[in-house]
Amino acid sequence: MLDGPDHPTGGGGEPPRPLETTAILIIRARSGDERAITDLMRRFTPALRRAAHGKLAGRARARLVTEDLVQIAFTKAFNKMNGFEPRGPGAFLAYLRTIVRNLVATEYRWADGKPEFSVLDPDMVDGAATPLDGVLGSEFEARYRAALGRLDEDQQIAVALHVEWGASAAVIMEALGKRTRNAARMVLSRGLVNLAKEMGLKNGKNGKNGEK
Amino acid sequence: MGKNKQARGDDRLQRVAEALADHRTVDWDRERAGAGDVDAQAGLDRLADIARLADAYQADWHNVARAAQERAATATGTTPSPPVAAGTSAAAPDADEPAEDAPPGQMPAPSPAWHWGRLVVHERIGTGGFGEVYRAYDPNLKRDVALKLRRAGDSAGLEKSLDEARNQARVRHPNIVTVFDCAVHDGRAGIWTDLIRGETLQHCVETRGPLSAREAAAIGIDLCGALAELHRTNLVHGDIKPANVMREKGGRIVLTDFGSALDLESDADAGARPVTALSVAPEVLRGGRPTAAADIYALGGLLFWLVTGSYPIDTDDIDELMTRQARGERASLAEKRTDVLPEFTRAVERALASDPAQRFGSAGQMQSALLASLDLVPVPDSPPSTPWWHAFTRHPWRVALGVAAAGAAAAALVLLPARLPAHAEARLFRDRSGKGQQLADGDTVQAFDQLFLELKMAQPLRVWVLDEDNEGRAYVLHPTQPGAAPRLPGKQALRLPTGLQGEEANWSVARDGAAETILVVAARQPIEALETTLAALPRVNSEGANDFAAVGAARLTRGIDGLVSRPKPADHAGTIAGLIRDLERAPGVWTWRIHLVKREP
Repeated sequence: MLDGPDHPTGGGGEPPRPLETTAILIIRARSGDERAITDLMRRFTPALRRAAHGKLAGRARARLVTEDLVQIAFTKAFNKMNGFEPRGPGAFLAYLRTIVRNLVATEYRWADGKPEFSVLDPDMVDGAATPLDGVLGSEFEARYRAALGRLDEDQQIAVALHVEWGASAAVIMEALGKRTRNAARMVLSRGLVNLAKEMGLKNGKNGKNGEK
Repeated sequence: MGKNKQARGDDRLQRVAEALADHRTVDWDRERAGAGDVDAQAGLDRLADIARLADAYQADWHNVARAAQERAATATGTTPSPPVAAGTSAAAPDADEPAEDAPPGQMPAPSPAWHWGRLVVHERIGTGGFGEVYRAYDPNLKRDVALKLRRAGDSAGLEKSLDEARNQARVRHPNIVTVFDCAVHDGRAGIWTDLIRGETLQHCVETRGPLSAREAAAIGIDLCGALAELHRTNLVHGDIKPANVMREKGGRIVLTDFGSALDLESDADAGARPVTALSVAPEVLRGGRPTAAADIYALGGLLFWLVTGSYPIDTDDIDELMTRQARGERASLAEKRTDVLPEFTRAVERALASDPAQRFGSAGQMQSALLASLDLVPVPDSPPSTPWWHAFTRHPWRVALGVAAAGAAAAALVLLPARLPAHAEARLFRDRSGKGQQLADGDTVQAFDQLFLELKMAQPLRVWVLDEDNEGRAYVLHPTQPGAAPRLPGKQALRLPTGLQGEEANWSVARDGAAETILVVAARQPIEALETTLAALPRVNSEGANDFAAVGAARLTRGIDGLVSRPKPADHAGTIAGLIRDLERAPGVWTWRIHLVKREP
């Protein structure tokens, strides 16, 4: 959650959006607030749709437009919200990524005439081995996740979309509601620098804004 | 000073972060070297870790999609081909099979992955004397690749890997594996190439037994095309063998592993290259420099192995191999496989000649011989009323073979089978009481044999036919009149020669001379160099028609040398041979060469 007074703000550029916005929407959505759910979907669906577009291929893409994929992911996410402890937009995007990832996996079956959405549960993903395990290990990812949670909201969204979704500056611009790609790019690059500094800290308490 | 230093470090971090934001490649070593400040270096390290995490996430996306696709293929009954790396000497058919018992909806657990440079490395799919081959993911290219990694500590191998990559990068051909890049990381040199999903020919034959001659010939035709391109760029492969040829899912034949390739223009250490003795030409085994002729020998050995499962000289003892090579003691293909086409046997035997001069003069020549061995037309399953070129368009496999005759220029058409194939075919026949007996390279004829040529072309082409005897005397058999060769119509079977009134005729074999070579050239456009050369040569009908009594009254016969004065051993001989060799490589030109041996009647 965005609870620390020490989280980096990212400095100049456009004024950051109110810190609570996405976080509060997530909390409200978790409690079943349909308007919050709608607002969240409106905010993230276009960007996630573009980011997810390349994840489907061939017949699967023909059978299920990426927009549906993202909407299904949102629906699944909110159905499971009670079991999810949101720690900020970054964690929420990671959660959505996990669901979309599994939808992509099952969508290939569905496209071949074997719809198996029902057997899929986002929770199953937690136990699945991925290349991430072999590359850096859970400790590193935990540090990344913790450091991400200490960034400001825009930087969290920008970094999560870049690192975990492979999103372009255009996608990030859309998700952040920025007017130019360059503005989104600046949020992202500052977010990456701050993330690097945060990851060098122990529990984020060793200094201010990444200073050791 | 401290603040300035920190500011510089922050600037560097910001610049690198912007590069990452733009998905640009970062030279981490250079950035670290320039950072100076420990904190800045630590920050760069964290950024590098984040970049690796991003790569891993992208690999994960890619992995989940790929694995699901393969699982879906299994579910629908299609066989997902295991990926086998390009450049490996060992097939790994089951390395990437999805787990059969994975619960529905769950991903099979992938192998642990690790990083080598920017690549995310997955499972090992092959090994060899050089090191190992892995399936890896290149986040820049956003695709799976085959990563060939040399063993750690192989300092001499670093330069070899770079040489190999450079050599391979010089050649672009649909039947040669594409190299993407090479690098050195963690003391290991690596090359990454297209990941071919299929199997090696070695695995294919070892698991399912020898191939038919037709299959082997089709493979040989593709490999001849690949070799022709290699040799054109002054490279020799140096290690043509079943383990270095892949059959991709879908049937594409791909030549891999350029670890023994030799640049004929610059390399001097040819003898030190690791090769497989059984497929090495005798002259190379004796210490000679590998040449294009040695590649042709190795290809002959490969084709022999594909149809028999053994090499012409199958022994584990290198001394015995050399001794038997010197004595010419090798197994006869005709004896080992009595069911193969004689034309195929002849092509393989010629490629395997101990004397390089007796082998095909080029990969293109060998390709022509293999094409002829397939006897592509008429297509047996075509209704008689169907034009023969339609049959080609209905059978993509045959289209590919037919187009292959045109050489590299037609390669693009192989990828566009919907287009009318630019096919041309010439076959020489001996007229036996009105029935044609097809002649192949190396066949025997005798004086007074009546010969004719059958042409089938998908489009109108200009055609030249020459006869050259063993003493270098040459004649023009077609066109019979000096000047530019007229266009002959396409989409119908043509017979040459024609009589003076357009009726059927034959060429008659002369009594003198020990051998004749019939050369046929077909082209879309006039070939000035050829016309100029031919203008100085005698033509068979320059003094009128011949009418040998032995020929039926309905046929007009022309002697190959019948009516013209026997010319002196020509100065043109070398010119013609060189010209034909050049034409073999020209786009839009087809050439055929049939060597006939004469015997006494």
